[in-house]
Amino acid sequence: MADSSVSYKCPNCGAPLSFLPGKKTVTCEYCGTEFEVSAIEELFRAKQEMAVQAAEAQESKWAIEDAGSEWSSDEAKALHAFTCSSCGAELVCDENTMATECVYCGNPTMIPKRFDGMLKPDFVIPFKKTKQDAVNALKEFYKGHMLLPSNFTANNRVEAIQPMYVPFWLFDSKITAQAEFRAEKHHVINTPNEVITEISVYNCRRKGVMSFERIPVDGSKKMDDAYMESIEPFDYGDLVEFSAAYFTGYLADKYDVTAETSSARADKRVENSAIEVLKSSVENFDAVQLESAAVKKDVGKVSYAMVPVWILTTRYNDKPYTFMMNGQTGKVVGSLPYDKTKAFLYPALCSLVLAPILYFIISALIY
Amino acid sequence: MLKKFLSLIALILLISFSTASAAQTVTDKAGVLKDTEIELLNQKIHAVEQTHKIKIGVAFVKSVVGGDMVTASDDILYQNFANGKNGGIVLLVDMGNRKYEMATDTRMVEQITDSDGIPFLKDRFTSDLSAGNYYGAVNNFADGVDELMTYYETNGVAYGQRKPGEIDPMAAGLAVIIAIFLGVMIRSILIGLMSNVHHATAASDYLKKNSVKIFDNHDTFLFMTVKRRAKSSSSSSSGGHRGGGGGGSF
Repeated sequence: MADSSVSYKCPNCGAPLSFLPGKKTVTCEYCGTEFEVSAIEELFRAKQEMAVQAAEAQESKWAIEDAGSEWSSDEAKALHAFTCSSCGAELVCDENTMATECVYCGNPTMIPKRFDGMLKPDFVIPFKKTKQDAVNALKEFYKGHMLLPSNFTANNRVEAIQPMYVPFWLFDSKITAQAEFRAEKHHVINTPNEVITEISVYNCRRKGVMSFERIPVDGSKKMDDAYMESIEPFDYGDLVEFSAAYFTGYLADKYDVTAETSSARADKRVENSAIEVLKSSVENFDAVQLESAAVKKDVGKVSYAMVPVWILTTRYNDKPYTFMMNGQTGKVVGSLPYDKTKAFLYPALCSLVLAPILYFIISALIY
Repeated sequence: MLKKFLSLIALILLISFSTASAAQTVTDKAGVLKDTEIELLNQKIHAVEQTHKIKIGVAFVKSVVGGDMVTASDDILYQNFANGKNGGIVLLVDMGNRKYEMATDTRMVEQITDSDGIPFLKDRFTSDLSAGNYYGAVNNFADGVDELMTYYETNGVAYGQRKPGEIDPMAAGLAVIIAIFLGVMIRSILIGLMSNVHHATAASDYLKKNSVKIFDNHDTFLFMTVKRRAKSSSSSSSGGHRGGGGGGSF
C-alpha cells in the first residue's frame, strides 16, 4: 500500500530535510547538501500525488460504522490515520494537520491531501527565527516586569517549543466610506466679570475611498484570536508563493475557520480604521464626535497564507503558560503571572511616598 | 474781657470734648444703651485693650449713610482705633437697617481671622443683638475678642489656624485618599503590563496611504450656544475691607 504521507528525505543521504529559518534553500543537516525549493517540489511532486491517492483510499475506510461504538461520529470525523513513510508507523492526526513530526522516528512528515486544490495556501512567510531565538526572546520578554514572581524565571522551564505554520486569511479590500461628525469650535471671551464661551456646532460630512492590503485574520480555531492579533504586524516583503518544502521540520495546520467566517473580524477593523481616516480629515475643530457612518466594500479579495509562529509553553506552580512568537519578526506575546505580595507592596510603597508629598501640595493650595 | 475769656474756655472745652468723643470706645448715637451701661462697657473694653495692647471700638448708629457698612466700619477703625500695638477692631451696628459689621486692621486680621475669628465673634453676640440685649451683645463681643487674643498669645497662632508643625486633618485625609487612589491605579497599570495580549481593533497598519481619496467634504454650521461662567471674586476673604472683617444682619 502506498504511503498517505510524504517524508522529505535527502536524495543524497536519506536523512530528513529541514527548512532552516532565514535560509532560502532546504538543507540536509546531516550531509550539508542544500536544495532549491523548486527542486524539492519537483522531486516530491509525484510522491505527493501518490500520497493524496493513498490518503483518499484510506479515508474511504473511515466510515463511521467501521469506527466502532467507542468513537462518536464527531470524534471519528476529526481523527485520521496516516502512515509514516519513514518507519511505517501509523500517525493519528486531527483533520487539520498539514505537516507534523512522526512521534516514533521524529521524521518530518507532510500530509499533501491537506493542501491540494482549494486547500492549498497561496503564500507562505518562511520562518526567520530559530528555536534559540525563541528561547532568548522569551527570556528577554520576562525582563522589566516588576510584578513577576522572583522564582518564576528560576523555577520555570520551557516545557515545549513548537514551530508552527498557522493558517491566515489575508483580506484585500477597496472600500467607500462615509460618515457624519458633530464638530465644535470654541471661542472664549474673557470679560472682567465672566468667561464667555461661544460654541459653534457644525455637521461635517465626509465621503471617500481607500484600500487596505492583506489584513491578516487567523483561520485556526486552535489559536487564540487575541494572541494571533497581538503578534502582528508581518512584513509582507518576505511573502513567497506557497511550497510544501517550507513545511519540512515544522508543524502546520490547515484552516478550520472559513474566510467567510473570518471576514467579519477584518470588516470590523477596516470600518474602525476608515472612520478614523475620515475623522482625521475633520480639521480645525476643537471637538469632533462621530454621529453615523457607513462603510461599503467595493472590491474584496482574499488569499490564504501560512504564517510562522513559535509556540512556547512553560509551567509555573503547576499551571501552564503559553507564549507565542512571531516566527518572522520575533515579537513575543503572552501573559505572565504576577506575585500578589509584590502587587500589594509596590503600590503601597508608592502610596506611602506620595502621601506626604501630596499633603504638602494640598496644604500649600488650601492656605 | 471776662466774656471773651469765658468764650475761649468754652471753645477749648468743646474741642477737648469732641476729640475725646471721637476716640471713645463705645459710642451710642442710636440711643440703645444707658450711660451706666456705656460706662461699664468702656471699663471692660479698656481692660481688654490694656491686657492685649489693642484698640477696640463699638459704635451704634441710627443709620449708615449710603448703607456701605464696610467702608463706614473701616473709616471708624482707621480714624480712631488703628493705633493699637497689636492691632485694632471695630464693631459697627446700624440700628435702622439692623445690620452689623466688624472691621479689623492688617495687624489684627492675623490674630482674629476672617475665616474663623470673625465667625466666632458673630456667634458670641448676634443672638443678643436680635433679642435687643445690646449691652449683653457688646459685653460678649469684648469677651470674645479677649478670648481670641488670649488664644493667639497662648498658642502663637490665630484661633482656627494650625500651629507650626501641626498636621491638618483635612489635608492629611485628602492626601491619604489620593495616595491610595494612585496606588490602586499603579497596581492596575503594573498588572496590565504583565500581558501584551490584546485584540486588534483597527487595520491602519494595512491601509495603503496613497489610496485615500476624500471626495465629499462638507461642513455645515448648525447653531451656536453660549456658556457664561462668572469669575471668582478677586477680592480677598475680607469682603472688601482694607484689613479684615465681616458682618451680617440681626
